[in-house]
Amino acid sequence: MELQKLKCGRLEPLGGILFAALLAGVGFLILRVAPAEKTMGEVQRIVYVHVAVATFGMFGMLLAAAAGLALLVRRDQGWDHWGRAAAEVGWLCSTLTLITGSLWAHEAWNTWWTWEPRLTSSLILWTIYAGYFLLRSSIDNDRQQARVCAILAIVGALDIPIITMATRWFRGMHPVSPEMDPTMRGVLLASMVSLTCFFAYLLVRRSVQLQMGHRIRALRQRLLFEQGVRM
Amino acid sequence: MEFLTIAFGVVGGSLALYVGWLGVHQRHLARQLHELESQLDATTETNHSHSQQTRRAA
Repeated sequence: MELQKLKCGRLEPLGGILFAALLAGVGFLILRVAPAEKTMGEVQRIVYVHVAVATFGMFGMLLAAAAGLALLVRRDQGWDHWGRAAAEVGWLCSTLTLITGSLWAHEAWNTWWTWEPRLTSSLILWTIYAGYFLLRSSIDNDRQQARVCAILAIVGALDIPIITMATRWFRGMHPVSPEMDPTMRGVLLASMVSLTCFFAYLLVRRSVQLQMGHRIRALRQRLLFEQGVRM
Repeated sequence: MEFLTIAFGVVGGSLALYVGWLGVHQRHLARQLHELESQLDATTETNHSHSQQTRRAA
């Protein structure tokens, strides 16, 4: 994509308005349209957001791993921007997953946290994301940083099947696709689709910014060179 | 209801903060990029005329 077009941010105002309306609509569906659950009551509504952020939290790591794989195979630094953007949005979602899950658990299980298989594997995912960014800040060389983080993302993606299958492989407390009223199922689907589109939009915007940052560094070097020529 | 408010507040607040930061950062990057491009154009122009003068003098 041409950088000139990207920095104009044509997507920015239109995307912002569109997503604000979309998220307001989802909020309305969750708070007003979805019926209250019989046993859990109002707190169950957290699930509509929790499932969506948890899904993108895992998807972010898968995307970072795919971008990492492409970077290692094609040796194209451009993939690193996609990987880093995916990891950033994924980490945000992973953090929100732990917070919303913890709030739900306090009401449902009367505890903020328990070392249950799905919760533990989700916390491991969060620490992998944290490690990914710690590594980024500790390596100065751009190419080396991209390669090491690509490898970590590929290894980190191995945690995704464990999180997904944790409720089947191990005995735990986490609910496994409970029976739902058709309206509730519809609201959950709407929430997942809209939030996934929103996170994808954030990912594209962040990736564009990283490309711009890369271009700025290249221009600075060229400017120094040109100024050196004159001297 | 209290926990529901906290959950929605945390999620909404975090996303709003992140989107806000993205907007501010985007503007900052676009400005930097524009400045650097104009600076580079000016420097290249100066270098070009300087090299022409040197050639003429030679």
